[in-house]
Amino acid sequence: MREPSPADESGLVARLRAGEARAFEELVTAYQHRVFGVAVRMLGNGAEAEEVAQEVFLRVHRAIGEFRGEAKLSTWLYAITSRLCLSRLGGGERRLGREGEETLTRLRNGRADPAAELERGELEAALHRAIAELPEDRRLVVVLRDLEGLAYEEIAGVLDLPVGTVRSRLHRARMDLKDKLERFFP
Amino acid sequence: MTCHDARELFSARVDEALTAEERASLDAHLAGCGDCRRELDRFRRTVALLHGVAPVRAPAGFVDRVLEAARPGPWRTRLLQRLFWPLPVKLPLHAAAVALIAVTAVYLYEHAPEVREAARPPAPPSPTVEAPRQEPPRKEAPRAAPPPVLAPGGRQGVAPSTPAPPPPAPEVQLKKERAFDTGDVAPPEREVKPSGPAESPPLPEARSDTSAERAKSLARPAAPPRVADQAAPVGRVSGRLAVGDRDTADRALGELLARMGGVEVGRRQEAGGVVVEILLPGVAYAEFAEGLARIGRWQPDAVPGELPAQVRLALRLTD
Repeated sequence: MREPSPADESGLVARLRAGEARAFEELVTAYQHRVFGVAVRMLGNGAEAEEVAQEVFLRVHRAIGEFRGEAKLSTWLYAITSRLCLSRLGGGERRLGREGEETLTRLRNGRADPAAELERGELEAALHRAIAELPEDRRLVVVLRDLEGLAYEEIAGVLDLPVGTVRSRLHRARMDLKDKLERFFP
Repeated sequence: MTCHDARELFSARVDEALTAEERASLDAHLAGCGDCRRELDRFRRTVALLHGVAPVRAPAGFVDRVLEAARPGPWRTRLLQRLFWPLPVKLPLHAAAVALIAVTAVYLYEHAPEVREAARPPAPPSPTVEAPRQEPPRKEAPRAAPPPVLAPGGRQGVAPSTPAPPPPAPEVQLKKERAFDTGDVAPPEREVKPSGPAESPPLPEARSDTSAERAKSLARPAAPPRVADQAAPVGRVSGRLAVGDRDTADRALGELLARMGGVEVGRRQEAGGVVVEILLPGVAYAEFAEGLARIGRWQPDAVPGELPAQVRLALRLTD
């Protein structure tokens, strides 16, 4: 299910506030992949990511009355997801390992044909490893900008940061990744 | 513009987020710097690679699992969650509340006597002295109208009577014991000593005329806790109190009993003196014994090491 339009979103929020079970199901269906995607790319573990994603939706279910509607519903969901992931990561001690790379490869959708897959396999593995090795604050910005496609301003809203900080973190993260993937770009 | 300044703008350049002025400056630098052009090319390819990463999908059944988890549980679970969730917040609050209640309870207990009184465990139903019965008349023991005296002496009761009766026979003593035992306060087994002729009347005990006055004084509200208010078991103590003047000693004994919260439950004449049966709180025995030593020469036969809540004392008053 695609992300609802702003008009649909305000109606969805109203129905959620009214406690309509069907509205909650629509919300989870619409945002499950994006929430889970951020969680699994940050945590690198499918089971843990599912726990976090489930907790995100349960928190929304419990606290929908507190949602003021000033930001997009997706911004609120990303904000909760980011906080929970950073909280789980517990201050930067954890890093995605081989399990995380395999998880991402397994979870990927829309695979290319086997020959192309084999050709790109090494580069993708290197990319996932390089993402996993980024510091958490930079990784989160890259995930939200380059993998989830959020605008700078929306990322600033999600992370409650100035736009300048978002731009700076994103630039550092991309430069880190470029340096780590140097050998693939002669 | 230096190479460093130029490369700081790469990210914004790729995202088309530069101002026109910034873009013009960067393009001018790139036109004359091959290294920065190659660096920008690598940078673009890296970002393109990131943008090409396939999206991740939530596992199958995820929506159903979320909906199941969001379904309200039984009321007990919801109540517990409401009471204790989140634990890091609620648990310290609950602990603080319990501590506050405990401190308040201790404070009230220490500063409010009525609370202390209320907290005392309820006394067993204490046997009271029955009023002098009209029927059946007991010719063996004509009784005067006694004041209400609490006595754990059982259903037979203890009533003051004027003349001192003859010493009871062993069987009579046993009857008295059984009568005592049928009360709520049950004394332990007691050795029965033959102490008088077998034809003694079955009256439990007789008291002198001063018993009524002593009983009145015993009933004063300021007296210490009465033995009748306390619980079993009862310990046995006997002894001999040699006095110079028996009447004076008798009065002193009555006052001592009143002070100690004891009660005279029987009195009989035996060879060589009067045996006064006394029921006394165990905790008061030591002080009572000291008081006896002041009245006369007190020689206890044997005193148990640890006295129970109540002590039954057979005190032989001799000259």
